[in-house]
Amino acid sequence: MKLDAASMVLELKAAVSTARKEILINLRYPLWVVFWAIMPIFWLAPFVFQGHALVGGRFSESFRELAGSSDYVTFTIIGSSLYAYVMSALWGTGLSLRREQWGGTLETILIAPCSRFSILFGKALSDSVLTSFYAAVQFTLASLLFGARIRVENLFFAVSAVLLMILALYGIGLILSGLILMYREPGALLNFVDTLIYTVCPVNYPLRTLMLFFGGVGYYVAMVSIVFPLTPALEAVRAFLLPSFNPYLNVAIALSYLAAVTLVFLTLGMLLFSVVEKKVRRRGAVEAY
Amino acid sequence: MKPTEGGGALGLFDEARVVGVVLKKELVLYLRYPVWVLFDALMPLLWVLSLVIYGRALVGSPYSENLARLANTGDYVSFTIVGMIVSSFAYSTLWGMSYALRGEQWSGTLESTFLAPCSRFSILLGKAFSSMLTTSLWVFLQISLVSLVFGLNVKFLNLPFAMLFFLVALPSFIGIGFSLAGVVLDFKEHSAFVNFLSSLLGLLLPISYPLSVLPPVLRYFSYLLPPTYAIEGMRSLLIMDSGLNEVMGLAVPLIFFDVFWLSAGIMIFAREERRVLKKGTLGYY
Amino acid sequence: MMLEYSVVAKRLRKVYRKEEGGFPFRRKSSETIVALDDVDLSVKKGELFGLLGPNGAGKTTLVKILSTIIIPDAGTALVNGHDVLKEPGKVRASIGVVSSGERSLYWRLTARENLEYFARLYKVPDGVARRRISELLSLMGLEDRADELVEKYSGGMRQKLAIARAILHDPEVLLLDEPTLGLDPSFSRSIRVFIREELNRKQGKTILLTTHYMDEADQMCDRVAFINKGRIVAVDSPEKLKAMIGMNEVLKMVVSNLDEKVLTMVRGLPFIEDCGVANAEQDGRTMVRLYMKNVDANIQEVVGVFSKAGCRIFSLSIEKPTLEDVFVKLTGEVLDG
Repeated sequence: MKLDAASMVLELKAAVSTARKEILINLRYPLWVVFWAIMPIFWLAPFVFQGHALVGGRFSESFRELAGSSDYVTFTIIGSSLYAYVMSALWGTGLSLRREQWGGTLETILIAPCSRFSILFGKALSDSVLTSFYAAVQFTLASLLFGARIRVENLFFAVSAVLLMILALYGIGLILSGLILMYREPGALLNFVDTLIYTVCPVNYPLRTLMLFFGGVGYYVAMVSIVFPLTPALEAVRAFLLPSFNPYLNVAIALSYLAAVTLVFLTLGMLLFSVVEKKVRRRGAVEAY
Repeated sequence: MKPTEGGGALGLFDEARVVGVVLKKELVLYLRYPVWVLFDALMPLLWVLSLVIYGRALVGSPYSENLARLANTGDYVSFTIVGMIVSSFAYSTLWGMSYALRGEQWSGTLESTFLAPCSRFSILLGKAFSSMLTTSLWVFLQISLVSLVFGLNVKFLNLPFAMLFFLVALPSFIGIGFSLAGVVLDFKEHSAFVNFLSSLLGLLLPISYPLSVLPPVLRYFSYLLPPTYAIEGMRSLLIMDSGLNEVMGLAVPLIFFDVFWLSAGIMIFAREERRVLKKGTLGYY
Repeated sequence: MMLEYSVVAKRLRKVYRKEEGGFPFRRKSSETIVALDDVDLSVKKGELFGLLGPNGAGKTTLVKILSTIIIPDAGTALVNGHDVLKEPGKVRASIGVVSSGERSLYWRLTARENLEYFARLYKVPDGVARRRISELLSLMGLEDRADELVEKYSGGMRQKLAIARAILHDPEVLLLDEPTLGLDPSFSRSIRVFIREELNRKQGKTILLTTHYMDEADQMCDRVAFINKGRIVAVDSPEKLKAMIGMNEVLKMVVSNLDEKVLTMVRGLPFIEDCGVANAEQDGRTMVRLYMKNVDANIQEVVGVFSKAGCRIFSLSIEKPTLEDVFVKLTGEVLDG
């Protein structure tokens, strides 16, 4: 692969074109667009209601002790909005090549003389554009329904942290798409990773709850949690947006860790993908499923 | 299975054998996918775990004063776990049939299955029972594990009554399952549909909270759903030790739902099947 | 440097190993399938070359190796002078591939959107792409429906669009895997004429096409290679291949109650050179092709042998040898389809 400016531009165009194609196809399934825009509210609402049932109001004393802020409603709204990106990296980018395989177009795009990473990058790009739209809809709807209280002046910093998280998450998506291309049975793997992240990451409850709940084991669970980019990103975003939030991780450390993890996951993902592509071509099973 | 002469209808005994053989086939197929077996064994634990940890974050202790005021018990851990268990039984009956039908459409075996001279409802029932059976197995294991770890406060003496109560609710679940299976026969965006309905149920069913915290509009819809009564009834029996009157009060509407949904389900499925046969799209996905 | 050969395969070998069980318990079984068994093949520049063989003979594997989608176990191939193993990028840029099946397109995009997308993937400059797309759409007779979703197209239209997609970047070599599979006869004919006249004769593209329709290979190809069980059995022009049978004629019969005893008896007749039996039986009837000199003089005796053995004869015709007969003679097997 040549690396001069002209061919870089062509690769970039291939990536943007892939993103455009993905968004076009998505818009042709309007039912799914509506689904992804509306559904997350249905997943968030039970947590708000559970809060009302257990503490009888929108503030929890226990939350104040664990996280500095007693406003569990805003806390979970932020959590579930960012969680949308995890789902998209798993079920979008992770499954993207598998979907081409189901559709019968995988071979055709792999025969094209552009870099595989341009195609994958294009897919991740379209996923993050769509997800940002869904996350914004969700945040707005949830704020209207349940009332979110955030420090709007810090929105810029929060969005920057989210961007960093997106890069890291799509590194994971890349790793998964390689694994799925090889093992072909993605449902169980994706469901497991999805549920694991949801349980150990501070989507709905502060990180310190793990220590409260699991005792000594909690530290280890928290360490597992921090491996996923979602955790440092949530800590940073909440520190920016949630008034009086007291993060478990230092924000500067969380952000630099996130940057490092991004590099690691992206490199790992690209390496793994190259290996898997060779392996699949050797096995002769690019289109088989 | 011996086809009756002239391809006529099978007797009740033969139909029961059809249910049995479908049940067996589904179980064998299930065991051929060890990853999913493992998944079914572990995932519900993680789901209930995130609800329980969240409760702990909210209250700071295993006892909620507010829940005690609203629901006769402050032990939100047992409250939530029983809610999850009953709802997962309900889900497995509701979706079991349509998932299995969808699977047969995918694998291309639906047409040959429906060519057999037995009642479609026997086939559907076999599928429903197999998914209930696997759910019971896992729920039993999970309850044992959870009781060990969290000290579940369940009144095990009431377990037979709770199971009896579930049997009262079962026909309505099966009826809804028939209806969904019928809709799925011809509705190609199946996973969006299932996702939408189960998300809606996740909100409307009193799994991790009593219905009294829901806005009145939503509560009204909750009371239209048979699983609501099943959850509340079994929870009363298993953790609240409520009186017979209260439980009967929940059983009466269930009996009404049983009659309604079972007949509606049979009608809807039969109508949808005829429609699909006319269109010639039975095996399509 | 002028290349004499556009495609050269050197001792290509590919063995598939079946897999058993589900993830993560998947393991390779000891059962193997030899898809390609030391295949050598050269396609001249500008030639329309046919690869003819029954399903499962290894045709698709060969095309996929040439298009860099499968890596061979041994051997390699040069496409346009580029090694498929060492320079897959250059190979990809110089080939266009059409695989049977219309699924290689995005059904929820329009024809134009599909072509625009693939033009970018093939790094065709935007200006060139725009011109080329409208040229191709009108060449294929699709311009009226260019902005309709592909899911509304017929199978034949999708195949035309797939061909348009394959020649978007004006490649020198085209690899066509069963390009008319599943199309209705009149559509197949127009696609064949297009491939032969427009793509090969007019645009001078080198074309390697696979097929299991012998008529297709006979009508279209400059040269044909027979492939069976992963081996190339013969390569030559259709005329020369057919000449291999000599001046003989073929007696084609459909009979019932055929068994090995009758066949041995028939084979024993002095004037019979060879005999091919189709393995596809319908209602106990079997098609038999008998290769012999001077059918007129011997037909009575052949019929006699079959009748005496209790076979019922349903039809009987005298034919000129076709490529299928050459294939039968060389392999003892019948092409299906």
